[in-house]
Amino acid sequence: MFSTGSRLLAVLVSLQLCSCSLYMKVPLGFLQLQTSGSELKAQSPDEARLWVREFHDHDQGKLEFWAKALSRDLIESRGYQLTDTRAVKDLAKRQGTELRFTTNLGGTQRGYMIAIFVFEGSRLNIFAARYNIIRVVEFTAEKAVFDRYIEAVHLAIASLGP
Amino acid sequence: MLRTIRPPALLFFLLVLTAACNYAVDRQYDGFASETQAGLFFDNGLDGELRPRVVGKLGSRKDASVALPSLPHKRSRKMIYSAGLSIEVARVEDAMRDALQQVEKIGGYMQEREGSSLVLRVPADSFLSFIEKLRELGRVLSESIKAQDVSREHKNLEIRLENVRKARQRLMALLDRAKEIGEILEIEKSLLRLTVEIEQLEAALEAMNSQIAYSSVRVAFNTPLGQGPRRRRPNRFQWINAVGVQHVLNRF
Repeated sequence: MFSTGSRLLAVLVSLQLCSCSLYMKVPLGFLQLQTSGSELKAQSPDEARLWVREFHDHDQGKLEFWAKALSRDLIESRGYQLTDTRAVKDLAKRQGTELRFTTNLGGTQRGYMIAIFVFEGSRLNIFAARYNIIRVVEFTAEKAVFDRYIEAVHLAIASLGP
Repeated sequence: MLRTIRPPALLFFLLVLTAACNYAVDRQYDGFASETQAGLFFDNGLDGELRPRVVGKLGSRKDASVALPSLPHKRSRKMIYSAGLSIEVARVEDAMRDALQQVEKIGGYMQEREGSSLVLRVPADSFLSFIEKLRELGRVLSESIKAQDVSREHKNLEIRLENVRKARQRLMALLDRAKEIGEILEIEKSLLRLTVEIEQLEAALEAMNSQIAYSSVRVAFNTPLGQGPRRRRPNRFQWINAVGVQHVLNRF
């Protein structure tokens, strides 16, 4: 009844739709607030916030480039202090970079962590322009709260998919 | 008996009285033990109005050991603390705003603002913790902390004030009993001099108490490489502009 082309298209569309939904096993004590499309939010009772988002990158920069560009912006333009840089992997074993900072906001010392993953975006057809997806995991809280959760958040990133 | 006293004799008496006062100051200081009295201090608000405030013993505060962990501070001592810092920050305006918020939070106030420099007055018991907060604003280029022991000067002022007040009271008693115009005029002249002296001593003591109660912190903020104050320019890459603490807090 359906041609091979139609079936293939249906599978591709399904794959495309499925690939949009992010999932992650959030750290213990966090409540997952929203999981829609390319976004995921979770929050702890003590105001620690975890946010996973995706951005499309048509310039197709590599992970190393984006990690450096982001780090430079946060340090030199926003006055963040880099405290640690780590390699991190998601559920699909893709390599990412985790950057940890401290910053002062309104007289309060805060911790900020951002993990970046860069991978090729899915195209509906071969004629569509190529692009990369930059997936970022951000986590911030007041310094004491940040220090309490940061290792749990680091481990939770390993469950981030697809 | 007073009627028989002549003005020259009265003058001599006053001179002897004044000399005795000064001698008493030195003698009493020799016996100065480790007492530190509670006193009346004045908060100088941003509007310049003096607000009286009773402050207890510096050493009696429960958190004194936490607030001043490493300063050579003795509970009985009257200390004036001051500090000067030069801090390199990414954005001067933000750093100044943060510093002022911190000052207000601990009950201090801004005394002076000139360019990218601030002179802040902070409660003495929050002095070191406030310096720590300032250090977190950026990279410390230079820092100096001074502690000046003014116990002797403070005690001297108190004793001198007390003695001059007593001398004034004695003169008042003499005035009540004086009958001759010459005597009355001489006593009133001396009373006027002592009143002025009392006012000067009170003002000096008040200024010293204010310096003891509120430490002075001068902080200069600089941008890297001596650049002038700069505002953050948006990054060419939009996604970088969309991440960061502010975004997570405001758009979460």
